[in-house]
Amino acid sequence: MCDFIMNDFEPSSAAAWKQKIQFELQGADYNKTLLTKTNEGITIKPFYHLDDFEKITIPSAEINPKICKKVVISNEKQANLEAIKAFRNGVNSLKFVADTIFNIDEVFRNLLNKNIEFHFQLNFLSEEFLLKLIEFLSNEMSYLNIDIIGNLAKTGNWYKNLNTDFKTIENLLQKNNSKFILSVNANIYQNAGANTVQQVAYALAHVNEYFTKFDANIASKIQFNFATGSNYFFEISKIRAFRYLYNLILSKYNTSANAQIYSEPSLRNKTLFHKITNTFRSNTEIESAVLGGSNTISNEFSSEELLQNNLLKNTQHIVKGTYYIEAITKQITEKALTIFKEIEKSGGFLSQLKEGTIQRKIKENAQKEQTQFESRTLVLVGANKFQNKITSLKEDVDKNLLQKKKARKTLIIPITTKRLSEKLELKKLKNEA
Amino acid sequence: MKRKDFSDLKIETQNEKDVYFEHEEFIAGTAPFLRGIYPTMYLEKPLETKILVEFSSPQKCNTFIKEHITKGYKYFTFHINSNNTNPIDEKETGGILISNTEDVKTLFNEIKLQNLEITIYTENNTLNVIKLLNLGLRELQTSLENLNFNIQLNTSANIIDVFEYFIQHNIKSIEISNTRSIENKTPEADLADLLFTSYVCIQHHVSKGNTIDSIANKISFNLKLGNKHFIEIAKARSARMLWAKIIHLFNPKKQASYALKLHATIENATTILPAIFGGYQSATSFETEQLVALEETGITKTVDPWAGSNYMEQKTAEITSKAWLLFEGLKNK
Repeated sequence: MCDFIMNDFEPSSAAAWKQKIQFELQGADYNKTLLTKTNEGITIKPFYHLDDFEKITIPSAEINPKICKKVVISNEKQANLEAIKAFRNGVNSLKFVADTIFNIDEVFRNLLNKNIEFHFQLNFLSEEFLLKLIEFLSNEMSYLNIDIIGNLAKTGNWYKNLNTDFKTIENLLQKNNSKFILSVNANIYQNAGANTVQQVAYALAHVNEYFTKFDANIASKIQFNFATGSNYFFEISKIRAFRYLYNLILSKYNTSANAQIYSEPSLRNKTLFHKITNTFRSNTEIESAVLGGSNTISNEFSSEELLQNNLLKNTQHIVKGTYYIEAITKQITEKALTIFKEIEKSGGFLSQLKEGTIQRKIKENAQKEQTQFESRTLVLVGANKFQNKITSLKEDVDKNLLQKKKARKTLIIPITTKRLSEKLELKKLKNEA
Repeated sequence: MKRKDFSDLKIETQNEKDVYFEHEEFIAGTAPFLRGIYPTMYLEKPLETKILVEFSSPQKCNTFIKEHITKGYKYFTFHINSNNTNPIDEKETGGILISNTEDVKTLFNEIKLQNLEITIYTENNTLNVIKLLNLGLRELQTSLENLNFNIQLNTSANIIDVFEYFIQHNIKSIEISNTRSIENKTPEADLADLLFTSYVCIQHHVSKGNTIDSIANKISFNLKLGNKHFIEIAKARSARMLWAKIIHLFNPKKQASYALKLHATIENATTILPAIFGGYQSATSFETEQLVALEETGITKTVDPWAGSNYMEQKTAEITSKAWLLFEGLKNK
C-alpha cells in the first residue's frame, strides 16, 4: 500500500536498530541505560520489532464494554434515586454496595426491564436474602459477586465458618445454575500491592478452589473482579494473560469458557490530595481495562463523560499484533502459570492462605514498591514528587480514601488495601492539624 | 473432587503475525522515521512540556510566566490577540491582548528570555503580530533573531510573506499548524494540507538557490489532536514518513532533514496519551495530567509501543497513501 515510500527507503532489522542505538550511546551501557526491569521480573526493552515477534492466542470475546456506576445503599430511597439519575445519564450498569440486607422493592423501583446490568458488593452472607434477591431479579442480568474465599482473604475470617459458607454457596448454586452467583475478587490482591503476575496467578488459584469444590461447569458463570493499576501496557496484558490461562486451566476439566471480567481503578496509587490526579489516573486505567478486554468497567474516580469516549467502543481488537503487548502478555502468562503450578503443588490457594504464604508474597512485592516510592523511582505526582508543580486546595481532598481500621481477631492474616502514599499523607495531615 | 494435576500445562507460542504490512520494518532514528525521529525516543529525549499563556492581561501573564519559571518550566506557548490588526476572524478570539510595544514590554518585563523557548500562536495576522513583538523586543534591547522563538503558522494563513520575514530575521523555527482548521477534516486531508504548506515554503526557499538542508530542520508541525485516539497515533506515524518522502524530492545531504518534529496542542486531557504514543517532541498541555501520563503510566519505557498492532499499521498505511494522493493533487493543481 505504501510502495511509494518503500521505493525510497530501506527497511531495518532489529539488529541494525540496536547497533544504531549502541553507536549513539557512545560507550554508555545499553543494559543499564535503556532496559527497564519490573517487579514482575520482566525486562522492558527499548524497542520491540517484527524480528522478535511472539504471541499467544487469546480467546476472544466480542465485547462492548459497559461502564458501571457504584451506588452505596445506606438509605434505600436515596440509592434508588441515585441509580435512576445515573441511568438517565446513560449508565447501563450499576453496582450496589450494601453492608446489610435491604428493602429490595424500594431499591429497584422503576429500574427493572430497562436492560441495565446489576452488580452487587454485599458485605454479608444471608442465604435467605440472596434467594429473594435472585428471585426478584430473575429476568434481569445480575451479578451477585459472592466470594467466600475473597472474603476470607480480605477480612481474615469466614462469614460464619468454612462449612457453613461453602454449604450456602452450594445451596445457591443448586437452585440457580444459570445465574452469576460467584465471583473471584482479585482486586484485593492488586490493592494490597501484588504485581500483575501474582494477581493473575492468585485469581486462577483462587477460582480453582471453587472448581475443586463445585466442579468447573460453573466456569462461565463466575465474575472476575480485577483492579487496574497505572502501568498502562502491563494492565492490558494482565487481563489478556488471565483470559488465556483461564482456558488453559479449564482444559484440565475438559471444558472452556470466556471469563467474565469486571475492572475497577486500583486504590493502590490513588492519593488523598489533588482529586484531579486521581481522575486522570483512573481514566488511563479504564483505557487499559477496555483495551485488555474487560466486560464491565467501574467509573469510580472518573466521570460519566467517559461514556462519550469512543475509545470505549469495540476496541479490544486494536491490541492484536502489537509487538510490545504480545510480548508482555506472553511473559506474564508464563510467569503466572509457574506460580499457579507451585500453589497447586503445595496444596492449593486456601492452604497457602492459611499458612500465610500468599500474604507474605504480596507483602514482599508491596514492600519493594514502597521502597521505590520512598526513593522516588516509583512516582505518584503531587505525593512524592512534583509537589511544587501542583497547586493544592484544602477542599481537593478525597476523604473516601481514608480507611477506618478496626482491629479484630482473625483466623488468618487479612489482605488489606495499602495505598502507597498513605503514610506520607497521614503525616502531612497531622502536621497541618 | 480430587485436586487436578496441572504440572504438565504448557503455553503455546506463535512467531507469525496474522497480518503484516511492508512498512512495519521501518524503525526509529532512521529515515523515513515511522517509529520516531530518535532511535530511543523518550528514554533519552523526554517530551517537552509547553505551558500555555493566554490571560488577556499582559501583566497577569508576566506574573504567571515568572511563577512557572521558578517551578522549572522553560517552554511556553503564547496565544496572542492583537485585535487592532486586521483579525482574520470577526469573532472574539481570546488570548493575550497585545496592541502596542508597551504591552510587549509588560509581557516580558524582567524575564530572562534567553533561557526560555517560546512559541507564538495567534488567530490574527501572524506577520503583524511578529513585527509588533520584534519592535517591543528591540525596545528591550533584544530581538527575535537572538532568542529561541518559534512561530506557529496556520495552513490557511498567508504563508510566503511570513516565511520571508522568518528567513530574513533568522527566527529559530516555524511550526506549520492545523490548530484552526482541523474540524471536519479527515486525517489524510489534514496531513496533505500541512505537507503542501511546508512544500510551498521549501520550494520557495530552494528556488532562490538555498539548500534543502538549510531549511528542512527549521520546519516542524504543530497538531491539534482530535478525540480519535488511535487515528491520531497512526496520523503522527504517517506524517513522519510522508515528510521524509517529500524531503527526498529535494535530495538533502543531512539525515536530520528527513526528520519531522511534531508538537501537540492538547485541548482535552484524554488526548495526552495519543500524543506520547505518536512520538511527539513537545506538548502544550495540561500540566498535571501530562506529568501523571509521563511519570506514572510507564508508556515511555519503549519506543512506539503500539507498533505492530494490526489495526494501527493498517490505519498508518491507509492514511499515508491517501494523504500522498491528496498532496500530489494539491501540488499539480
